[in-house]
Amino acid sequence: MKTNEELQKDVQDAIKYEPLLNAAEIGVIAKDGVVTLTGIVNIYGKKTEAESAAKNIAGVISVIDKIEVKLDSSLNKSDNEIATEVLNDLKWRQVPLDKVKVNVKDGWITLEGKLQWNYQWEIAKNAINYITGVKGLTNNISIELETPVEIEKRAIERALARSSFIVSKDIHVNITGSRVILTGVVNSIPQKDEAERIVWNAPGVWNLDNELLVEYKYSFADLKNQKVPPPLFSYFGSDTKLFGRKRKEQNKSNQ
Amino acid sequence: MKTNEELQKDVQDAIKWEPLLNAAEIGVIAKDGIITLTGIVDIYAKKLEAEIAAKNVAGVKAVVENIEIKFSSSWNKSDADIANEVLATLKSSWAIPSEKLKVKVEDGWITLEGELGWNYQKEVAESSINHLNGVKGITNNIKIKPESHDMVEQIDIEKAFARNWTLGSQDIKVKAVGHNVRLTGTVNSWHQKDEAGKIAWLTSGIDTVDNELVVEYDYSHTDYKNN
Repeated sequence: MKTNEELQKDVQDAIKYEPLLNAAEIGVIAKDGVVTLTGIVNIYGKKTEAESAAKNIAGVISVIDKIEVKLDSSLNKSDNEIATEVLNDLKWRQVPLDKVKVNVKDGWITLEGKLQWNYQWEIAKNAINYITGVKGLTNNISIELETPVEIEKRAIERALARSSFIVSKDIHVNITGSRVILTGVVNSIPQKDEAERIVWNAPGVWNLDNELLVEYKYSFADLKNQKVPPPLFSYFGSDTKLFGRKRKEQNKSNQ
Repeated sequence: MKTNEELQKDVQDAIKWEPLLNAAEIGVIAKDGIITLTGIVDIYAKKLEAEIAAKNVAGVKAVVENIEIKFSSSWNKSDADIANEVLATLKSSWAIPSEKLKVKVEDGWITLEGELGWNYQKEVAESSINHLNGVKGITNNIKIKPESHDMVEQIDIEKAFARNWTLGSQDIKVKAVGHNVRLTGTVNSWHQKDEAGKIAWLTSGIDTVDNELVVEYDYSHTDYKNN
């Protein structure tokens, strides 16, 4: 495991690496893999960018985003103007708005109503990231197909299995009515998010609880470096501190 | 290894899995890890989506995307209409200095030109318009002129890879010369290749990235998964 100090530094460095972020504005606190981000930025998209930069850092198992957005006072954009841009942007990106209401209050956007698919919400969320004058976004959208469909568990499992993105196969799909609960272990936050995206594509999913644990020790790279994968219990032995490159260097020097 | 038939079926299933796509419209041919996509769709974004879906399937080494776009005959949207939507979209985005860009639309085909400081701006510009109705294709000719005159520091990129969840354990060789970076080696997924390219592009002083990473899915790993 990285120490809290090492993880904090890695996240700070990653934020510094993002051209659109000013690292000095953003505070990073790390404790046992949980990273808390604080500070004030002038654009909503910077807040989401900082969060995603942190999530990509090895060793981060969850991110608490407490960054505030304070718009520049020179920016003079009314809620009406913002709402018009949001509506146009979503319409042009083919997000079906017939059952969606867009409310804007002091730059804070709330989307309410129904969409058929979660990917449509993802498109909306991504578009809103880039609109000037936005302070925040609340998602009150529910995902519902027009006609209910029974969720096929096996189809979800196969979709997860064929992905090259998701390395861990210790993922369990549990279904209760229109709700899917994911449990098990994955190797990174990006994999956890991708698993969620894949599950949302299954027809009939209205709710999704992503309870996947992100496990740092369980590293595919380390397994790969062994000719034959050892049983997990022995693998989590004394040298789990060595990851990636370091581990490879170690292997080379052992040879 | 998956057989050609198995890989073909996996890619077809992956395309079927994406709600935006109508799998019956898209043909999939698989040969030794190389996937060719054919067919006709009515929205440009569907072409891109099909390619991404195929790339993310374990065992796919390369994708040849030959999908065509045809609009229904009742459809008519003028190039001027499209250009107006493109300009409005680019203008509303804080990440893109739209005044530095030139937009050309010809028979639904959009060409973006100009100079920007960062590649992510170039990508945001393209991704913000690829869902517009009536778009047949996008040629993104935006050039990157880094704001910083500094040479690229190779060690910065190596460190950025090392701390990343997705790349930390990968055997990626980084070679920085001047404002250029070349990435070579083997990774296990397209996602890793894309992520490596994206991170390299974030480096101060960079103007070109040659992403020559080879995607080689590790089947021994699959066996492990199935245990």
